[in-house]
Amino acid sequence: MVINERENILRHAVETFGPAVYRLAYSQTRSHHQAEDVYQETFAALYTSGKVFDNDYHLKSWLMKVVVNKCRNIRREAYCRREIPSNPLEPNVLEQAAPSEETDDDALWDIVDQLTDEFKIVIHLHYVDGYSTNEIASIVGASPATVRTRLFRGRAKVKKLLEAGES
Amino acid sequence: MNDFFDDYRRALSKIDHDPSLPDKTIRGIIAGDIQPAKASSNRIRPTRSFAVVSGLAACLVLAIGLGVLLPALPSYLEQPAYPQADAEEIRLDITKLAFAPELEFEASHDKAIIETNVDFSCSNAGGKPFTIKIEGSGVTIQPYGLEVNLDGPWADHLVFGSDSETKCLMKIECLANEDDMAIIFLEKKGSVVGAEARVMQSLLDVLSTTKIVIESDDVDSSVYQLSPQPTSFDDIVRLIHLNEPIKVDLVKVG
Repeated sequence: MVINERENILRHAVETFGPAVYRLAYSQTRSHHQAEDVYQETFAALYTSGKVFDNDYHLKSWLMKVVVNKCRNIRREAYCRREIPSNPLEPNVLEQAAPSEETDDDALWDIVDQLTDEFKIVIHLHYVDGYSTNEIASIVGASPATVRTRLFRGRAKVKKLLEAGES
Repeated sequence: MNDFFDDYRRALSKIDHDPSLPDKTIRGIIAGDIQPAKASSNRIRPTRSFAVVSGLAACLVLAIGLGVLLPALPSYLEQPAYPQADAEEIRLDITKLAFAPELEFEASHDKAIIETNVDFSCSNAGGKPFTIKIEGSGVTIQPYGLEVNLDGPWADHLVFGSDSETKCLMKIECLANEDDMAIIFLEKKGSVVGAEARVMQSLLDVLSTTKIVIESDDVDSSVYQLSPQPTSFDDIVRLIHLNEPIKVDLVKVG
């Protein structure tokens, strides 16, 4: 009974929040291979934790927090091992099927890649997933004021990069 | 700017995983083939040479630190734990305020671009005397001399009843945009322990009553004040950090 419940939660989470988890992981790692690793480990963590959530909102927030932490671990390990980052433009199966779409967004991803990780996370959670600063603070483990500062500076950085691109 | 985030959302919506990934993940997790990585397995252990180099570096830093601190220790011990001031006294010491050298002022003096850094620190313990100090670094703007007058009733609001020591650094920046408005935001620059809200409120009060005096050989001296005056620190921070900056005019008051 308990195992069935855990499986049901896992299936529900994967089906409902899989794309969001993957996109957040991809936006942080810029690697499909690493995003897949984060994706699988995140849901594995959900399954092994046996957590039961009140609603989907709490479930998604928990998943996002795990993704953020796992991406952080990846960066930390890469730094310790002095790994060369994966090629951000590495193709995956879907991109091979539609290579022209990715090319159109190269300029945009160039800007995103110039943001530091702390800015990328808050911008993604705020502008893509629609979280408030207080919610983001809970997910990334920072104070709301810090999140607001990162949002402000992230936007300023984006604006600066956009202006530099225009000129 | 908003177009960029729309494009970002659109670009992300194109990013999708391998269609077989969800099923593969579910099956792998249930079968036990996929498990969350253990933190201990990822730990990077330092090599012996790294440990030796780190140890030597730490010893060097310690030696330098002791060399600097030990000569200053006797004079430090002679200082009282708290400033010698009456319990009711609040001493304000504004040494310098910083303005970016590239700032410009219109000849009409009806608008200004101002950037101000104010380091703000205060401490209090068990109701003992304390000092509030505001300081920064200043640059004179040519051809105008610029002075900020922080005198005002706001000093009465700097009351700290906490038993714990409170220290913080605040940054106040006033930036005018091309719409002749001043954009103000306060930013916490360091760790704040206790009484943060009161510190922030006090700084808000500083802003509210700040008068900006512009003196020049070319034109008459003028005094400006922020208008409308900020009413809520939370409003300012929230609005500004969400890119809806509060816009405040500098109004000539004298």
